Amino acid sequence: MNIRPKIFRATVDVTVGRESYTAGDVVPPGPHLARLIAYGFAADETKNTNTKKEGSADDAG
Amino acid sequence: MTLADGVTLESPVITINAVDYVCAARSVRLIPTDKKADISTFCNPGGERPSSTTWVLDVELLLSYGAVGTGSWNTLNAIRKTRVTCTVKYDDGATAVGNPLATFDIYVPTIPFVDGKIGDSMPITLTATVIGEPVFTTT
Repeated sequence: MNIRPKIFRATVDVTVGRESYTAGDVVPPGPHLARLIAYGFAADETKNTNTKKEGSADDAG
Repeated sequence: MTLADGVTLESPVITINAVDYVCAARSVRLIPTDKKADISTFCNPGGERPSSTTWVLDVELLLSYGAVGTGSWNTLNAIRKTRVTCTVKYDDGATAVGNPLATFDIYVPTIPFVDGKIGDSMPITLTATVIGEPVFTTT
């Protein structure tokens, strides 16, 4: 079985703490990535989805 | 390069758990405080530098009552002591470099039920420490 680690990319231009990512940048594993995924600002690169829904009910995550 | 003119806060976006509080709110603050690390040495006596940062959300809002999603007390009381996602930006226009969106989680504090004197409106301040640091997006 060939297991390839998932690669997550920013779906928007985003800054968290001292790190900034342009949409499409790979976000390394870590607490930032977990939060970006939770907010819909980063996604598995195999899923071509921009899940950001600003100011809407979906912001609750 | 010249900096842009200062902006005025007139129609911000303030959502807590996906509910828009802008018509109940009269002020909003998302303020960082840096702890200071002691880097004092013989070459830098008394030296210090910023270390970890704590962000605090303050929203002054007026108490109102009604269904969840309508009354400010009912809505906040229903999610007291739970972790929720908030968003703040200074203007309700599209998110952009000139109008960044801050997204972050807080634990909602328990808010007062009534707080006022005869004839007063009832402003309260919701104060919560941000979990981690806000995420700022510009697109």
